[in-house]
Amino acid sequence: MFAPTLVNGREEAIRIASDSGDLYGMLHHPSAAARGAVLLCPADGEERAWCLRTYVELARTLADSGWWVLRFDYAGQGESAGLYEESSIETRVHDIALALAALRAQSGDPAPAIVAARLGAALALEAAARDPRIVRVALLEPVLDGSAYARNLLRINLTMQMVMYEKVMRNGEQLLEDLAAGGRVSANGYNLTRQFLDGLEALRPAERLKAFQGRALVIATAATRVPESPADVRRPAFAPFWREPKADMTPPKLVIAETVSWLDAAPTQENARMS
Amino acid sequence: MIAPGPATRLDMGVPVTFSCEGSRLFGSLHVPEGPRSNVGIILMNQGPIDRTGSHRLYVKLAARLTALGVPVLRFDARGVGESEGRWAVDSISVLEAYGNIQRGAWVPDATAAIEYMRRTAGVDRIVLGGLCGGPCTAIFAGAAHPAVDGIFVIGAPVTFSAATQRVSDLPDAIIKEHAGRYVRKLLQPSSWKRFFSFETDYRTLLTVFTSAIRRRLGRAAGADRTAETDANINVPMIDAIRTAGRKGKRLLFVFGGNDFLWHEFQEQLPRFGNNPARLPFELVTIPEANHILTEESWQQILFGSVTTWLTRGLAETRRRLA
Repeated sequence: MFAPTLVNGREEAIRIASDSGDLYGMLHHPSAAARGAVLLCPADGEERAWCLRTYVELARTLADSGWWVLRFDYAGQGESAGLYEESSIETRVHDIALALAALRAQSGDPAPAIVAARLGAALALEAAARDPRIVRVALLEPVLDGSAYARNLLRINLTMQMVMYEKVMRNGEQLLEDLAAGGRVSANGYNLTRQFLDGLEALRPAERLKAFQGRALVIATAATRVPESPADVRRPAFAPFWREPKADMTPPKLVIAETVSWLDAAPTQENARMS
Repeated sequence: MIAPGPATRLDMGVPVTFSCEGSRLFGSLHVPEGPRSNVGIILMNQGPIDRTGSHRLYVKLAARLTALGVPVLRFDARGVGESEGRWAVDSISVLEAYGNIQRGAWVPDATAAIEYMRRTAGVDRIVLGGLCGGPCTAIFAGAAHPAVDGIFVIGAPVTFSAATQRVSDLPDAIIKEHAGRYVRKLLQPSSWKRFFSFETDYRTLLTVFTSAIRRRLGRAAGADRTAETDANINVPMIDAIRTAGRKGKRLLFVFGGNDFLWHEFQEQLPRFGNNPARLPFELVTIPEANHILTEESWQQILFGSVTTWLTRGLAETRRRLA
């Protein structure tokens, strides 16, 4: 029923020290001549879980192609310490900076590329705006409207109420009141806070993408509106790997192949330092 | 030698790896500080979700159980999370994967985890647990393995997932409930508005009512749906539950009151005998809760039920050893 996967490179679980408790990371060592380093920034909450297998396969493919790869979890998510409800947009951006520092130290590459899906992409753009050494980002079905993403999280709670109680017990306005009073609102079991939602509202990923000075790849479905920017926008057909799969649950081969070939094709001077 | 986990508010355990049929599996081992029980707990993947579980339910549960002095292993089976191995096909639908899991595809992974736990965590006896697909693995592996003393399952599916995707195959309890919901909606103006603005799922509505009527007529005519429904029911798993009970293994079943799997399970309760007081398992339902227990209050009831059940079991084990 199962076939073995050929994993050529070493995979090493690491702990990244953070004020809010250690972050979990998985460092994939390159199994071919080193090209450079790539940080995979996770999606968020429920989407992080559904994206994980794609990230693992992408990391292994990149390692086979000669990249150092670090996967990690934000504080309060996945295997990292902390509580989801105590995290914010700021803590996530800070976590990216910590993971980048760890990857730089391990790989020797001063300017790792970043690959990120969904909210992770918005966070990566925010991190890039604060760190001029981030010059390559590949964004997979990125969240480019923080407000819409926040509204959708609240909608998940309303849908859950309809399913459970056949009616809305607390409407959108009341949920916002609850949050303003310091309460928590569950979206698929992840406890939303006012601090997190305010951070989402303040994010400007579309503007960040337009202003990004480095090389950017965007792989998106037709449903995602990407603003005019120098980014290389590609729209291969792929299933929504960030949601519970309705049909094929294997990681999207085209997305992985396009991401790896885009990174592999980077100008050689960017990679020369690693050889 | 296992180092204690980092001192954080939510203990994340120590990253570990072990092997299953040539594939390396990744896990997180939670080791209690202080005195340790000789019983270890292993949490089984719920399906294609990694070892943290939906909304990190397994992490939160592991923290509660470790506080009782019990080591806990969360791990990723083959083809899920960080572990090696993949389904041996080019593509697989989530329904096929769930179907395979429901038939015991991850039993070798569970067995490897049991052996790893006994080898490295200083425990002799094992309790298996999990949510959704996890119960299937736990029940098949636990019924067969002599080191397993107990199994606790949350939202266990007794109907094959492929069957529950077809409305006409849904169990009677669910058809009745859906039909009742539609009838109640007849009194709601908003429902009629949706109906006439083409927002209603007409196909489902029609299938629910035709199924309800067909089954009612069938029952009136004395038709037997046993053979038809048995193909959709995970009978081998029900047999394994009975086997585990006969072997004296302790079993706890927890369901959310609003989980449709609870309605399915209720329909199969007669398969465990005619006396509800003599079921081979303890049964807990969490009122109003959904399948993955998304509200904190529901999770607290789960944690309380499992820790109470486990504490009682640990006391029995100690008495037996004394």
